[in-house]
Amino acid sequence: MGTAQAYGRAPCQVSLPDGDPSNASRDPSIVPSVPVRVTLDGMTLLHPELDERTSVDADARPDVPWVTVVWDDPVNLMSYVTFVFQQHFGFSRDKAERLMHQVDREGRAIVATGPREAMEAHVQAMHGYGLQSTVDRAPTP
Amino acid sequence: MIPFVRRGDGVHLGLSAGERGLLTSLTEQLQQVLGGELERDPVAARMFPDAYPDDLEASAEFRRWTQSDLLAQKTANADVVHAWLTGAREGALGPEDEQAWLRCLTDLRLTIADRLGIVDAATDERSTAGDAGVGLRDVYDWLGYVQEHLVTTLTA
Repeated sequence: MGTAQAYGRAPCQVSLPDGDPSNASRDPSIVPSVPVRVTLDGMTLLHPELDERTSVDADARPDVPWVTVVWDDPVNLMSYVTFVFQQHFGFSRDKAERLMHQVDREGRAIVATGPREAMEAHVQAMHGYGLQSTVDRAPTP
Repeated sequence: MIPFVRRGDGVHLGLSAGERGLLTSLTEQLQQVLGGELERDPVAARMFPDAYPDDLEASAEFRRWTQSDLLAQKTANADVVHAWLTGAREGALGPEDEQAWLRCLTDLRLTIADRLGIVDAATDERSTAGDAGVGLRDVYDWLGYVQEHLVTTLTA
């Protein structure tokens, strides 16, 4: 998880080395200048007749709950992850921080348990916040 | 400058003109990324991660159902932030503006992290080394500071 190290040294403000980011010595371009070749599977929908939620659940036992997992990533800040957990799940600050530290320390944490559709909605929300999150079957006891 | 300032009526922008200019440029580039060939851009894997890491088919299905909504949200967030940066919006941020700012700053950092090759702690560390002058890594850190400051200001 991204920590506040780079901007946490000063108590309230950190500037770029030359004091003003607009003086960046080279154009901070983030638009890809060359075509990139990574392709994601299944990004295009070519068969509208398949655009129905079917069959995926065929082998799922309805009595087995699912979980929402949030994974550690090097980008998102600890404070932001805590904030997201509080805001989306309504967790107390303590609980949100505990889960955030679990993500940071163990690489992942289960943040919700329940029916698959509800977990998918949580994962979609986490993706909306920019967090790395997945759906999984609940661990068997 | 302090990026955000809380006043009686809510949180206001406190960015300097130079900082606004840089962020405006970055936001416009993000708009290009979001409106471009995203399926060919590796940052898509960070913006729309596999929901089922061990099941490509289920992940593809999930993407079919969620990606266009997520993309529309990200685009709207960038548009909102751009409006604040260019002065089309001013005054106190409303709750939706706060969300747009938090998420847009995240999308900017996800995109820059991809360009810098930051995938874990080691590559994160490596990207801080060796680059003389102010580069993308400094911008990335500065965006982290801006976001951290916004979270702190909102939760204070």
